[in-house]
Amino acid sequence: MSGDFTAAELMAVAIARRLRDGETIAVGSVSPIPASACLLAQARHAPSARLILLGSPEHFPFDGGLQEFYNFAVRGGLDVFFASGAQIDAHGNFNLSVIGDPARPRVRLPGGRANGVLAFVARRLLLFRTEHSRRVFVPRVDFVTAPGTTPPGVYRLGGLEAVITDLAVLEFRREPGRLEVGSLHPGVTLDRVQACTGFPLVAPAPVPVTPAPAPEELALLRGPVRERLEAFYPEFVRQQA
Amino acid sequence: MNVPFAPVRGLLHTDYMKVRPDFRTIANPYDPAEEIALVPAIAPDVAVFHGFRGDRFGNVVTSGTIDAKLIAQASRVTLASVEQVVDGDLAREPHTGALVSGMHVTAVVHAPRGAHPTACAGHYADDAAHIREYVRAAAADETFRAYLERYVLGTRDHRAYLALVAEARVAAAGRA
Repeated sequence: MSGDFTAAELMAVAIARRLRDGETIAVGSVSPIPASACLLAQARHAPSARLILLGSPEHFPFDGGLQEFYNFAVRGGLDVFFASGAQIDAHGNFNLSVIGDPARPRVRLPGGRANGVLAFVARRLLLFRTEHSRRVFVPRVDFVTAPGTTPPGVYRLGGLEAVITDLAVLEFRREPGRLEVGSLHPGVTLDRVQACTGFPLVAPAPVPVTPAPAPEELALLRGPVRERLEAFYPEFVRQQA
Repeated sequence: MNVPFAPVRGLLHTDYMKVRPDFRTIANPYDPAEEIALVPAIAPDVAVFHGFRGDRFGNVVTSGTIDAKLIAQASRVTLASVEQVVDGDLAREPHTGALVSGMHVTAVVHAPRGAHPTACAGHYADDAAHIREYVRAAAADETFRAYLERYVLGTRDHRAYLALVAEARVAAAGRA
């Protein structure tokens, strides 16, 4: 990564710029980068965004637990939801459940339970992953925690919009149901992203470059956003300092 | 509610429908054009949760971010540990957080720091060093058994457990 910012800061800024004023946005647990993106957007251009940041009691506007949050989400309350993806494939299927044969998993992951529902009901699902590699971007996920596309007749209010990684932004095109390169982060070549991706990538020519963070965005991230994030992601803030 | 199953919007065309043969797909009886998933009810024998305050009627005030109200209503036996036991009736007092009615609660246990090593909102943060120790120990059967022996089976009660945790922290600080 080039310039005077970290990969995490670039990802947070790239995510924040996609968030719109007035949106209701939820971030799952163990997601400090999207959480910082939400706080950045709220501090900068989206003051009326409503944030639900799991893991932060201050940003959980329900007293009925996750049950109430799920009910709200299934009714169509979420404009945006964030999740990670242990594996993501070309068709926008993602896996947060198990690695290996589901009957005898090599790794069992904790993030699956919510996404089999939330990925259907959030109007815009954004996945983030700090490791753009062939073990993440696989030809076929070991387990479909949520599918990129579903046939008609299935209750689906939205779905995958994009995947933000430490190298690039991949956009999901619902027609033809495929992930494509949206932009490359500064200093990253298409060859490198292709080498780190386990399926052939389609890219526009010329490929856009993800805009670098502006000084104002970095100042917010390193000041008030970090301060608020520290209350519920102390370890992450310590590592970033 | 004691209903045998619930319809769920979502889950269809995920692999959960493959690995869980008890998850079913039906046509919505009220709108046959829609496919909908059914999942069986879970009826736990015992639910355990931690709260801020409890009273002698079994009422417990706890964090609204956890599903204490849900599990208390689903389980046959519900046990709550609390930071503080109070006089009076919590169901008749204003509160912040969630009130779990004593109607659902079998027993309340006074256990300050009872959420350790996880956090109790407004009371204490999580004990990251202890959680790291647990994660390391849980990686293999032998080290996990040693953890259980040291912290769970080998301690007389919760107070002894907390004393041991404090001792381990002082020892670790000495090594650092």
